[in-house]
Amino acid sequence: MMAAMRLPSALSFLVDKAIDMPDGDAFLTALAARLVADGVPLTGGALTQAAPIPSSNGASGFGARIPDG
Amino acid sequence: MIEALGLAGPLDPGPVQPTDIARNWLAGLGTGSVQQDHAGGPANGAMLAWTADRPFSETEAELLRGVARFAAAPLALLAARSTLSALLTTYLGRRSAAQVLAGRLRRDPGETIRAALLFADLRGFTELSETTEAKEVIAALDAWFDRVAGAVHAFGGEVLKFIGDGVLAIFPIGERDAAAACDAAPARGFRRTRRHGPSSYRPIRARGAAFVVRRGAASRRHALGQYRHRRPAGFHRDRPGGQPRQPAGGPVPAARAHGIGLRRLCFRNNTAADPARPTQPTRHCRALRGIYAAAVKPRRLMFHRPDGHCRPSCFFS
Repeated sequence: MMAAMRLPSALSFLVDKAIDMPDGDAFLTALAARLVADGVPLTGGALTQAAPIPSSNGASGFGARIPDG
Repeated sequence: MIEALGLAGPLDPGPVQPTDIARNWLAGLGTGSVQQDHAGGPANGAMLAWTADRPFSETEAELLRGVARFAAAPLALLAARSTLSALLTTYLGRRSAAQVLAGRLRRDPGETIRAALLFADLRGFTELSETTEAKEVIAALDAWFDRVAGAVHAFGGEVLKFIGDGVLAIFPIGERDAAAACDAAPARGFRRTRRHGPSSYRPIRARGAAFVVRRGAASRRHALGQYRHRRPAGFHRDRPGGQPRQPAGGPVPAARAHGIGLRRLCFRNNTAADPARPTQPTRHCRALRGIYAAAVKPRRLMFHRPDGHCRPSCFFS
C-alpha cells in the first residue's frame, strides 16, 4: 500500500479542496491562509484572471491583505 | 484575519496592465519586493503574486512557484465555471442562468413570474448608425449597454434581452399583488400613482412566462412584438411635438393621455437644437431616476449632437 504523500498544506489544499471554492476571491483567501500556516510571512497576495464578463475586455483580480502575516 | 478585495482593471486598456495594478498594490503592503508567478503559463492568463514583510527565502520562493503550478488546474476550472456563469447571466438573465446552472435544461411549460418591465433604447439610433462609422457605433452601443445593464442590476432587476440598441429588463415582484408590490417596494422604486387602478395591469404571456405589464407606448410595444399583445384602448404615442396623439374619438381623459397605468419616463435632451421644444415631464419613480442618473444621463451627454439626434429614452412599465 502506497504511503500518503506529504505535501505542504497549501499544495494539499490545491490538490484536494481548491476546486470546491466558489470563486477566485475565496480561492485566494483560503490559499493565503494555508501559506501563512506553512510559515510563509505573507503580508498580501493577489490573483489576476482574464475577465469572464463579456462586456469587460480587461481582467479581473482579487487581492488579499494578511495583516498578521 | 485576511481581508479580500477586488482589484478593478483599467477601464481603458493601455500601458497599465492588470498585473501591474496587483504588483503596485502589493508593493505598498510589504517590503516592496513582489513575487509573481503565472499559474499554468502565460497563455492561461492567471497570475499569482505575493509579498511579505521581508524578502522571501529561496525555500519560500520555491514553495510559491510550486503553488502557482499546482494552482493552474483549479484556477482553470474556476475560470471556466465563472465564464459559463457570466455568459449565461448576460444572455439569459440571472434567474434563468441560475436554473440552467442548476441543471434545468429540458424544455417545459416554463414558469409564471410577475415583474415590472423596463425597455430602454437610444432615440435616433438608426440615423446614428447610418451616419457614423461602424466602429464608433459599436463602441457607443457597448458603453450604453454597460451603463443601462449595470444600473438595472444595481436596482434588483435583470436584463432579459438586448434588442438592437434596446434593452429589455424585468424587476420581479414576487407573489404580491402587482399594485401593492409597486406601492410597497420603494427600495426598487416602484410607486404607482393613485389614479392608476388595478385594471391597468395587463398580463402578457411570452414563451411560458407571464409578465405583469401596464399599457405601453410604441417603443415598448415594439419591444414586445414577439409577444401576444393586444393593443389597449387609449394607446398613444409621442408625436414630434411632445404631445400625445389624440384618438379619433376626441380628446382623451387626462389619465389616459398619460397612458393609464404606464409608468413611463421619456427623457428628452434639454440641450436639443430647438430650445422651445418642451421637455417631457417626468414621473416620480425612484428606480428610474436612479437608472437615469446611472445610465441615461451620462449617455445623453456623450450622445449630444448639435442636431439633437440620438437621445436616450427609457420606457418603464
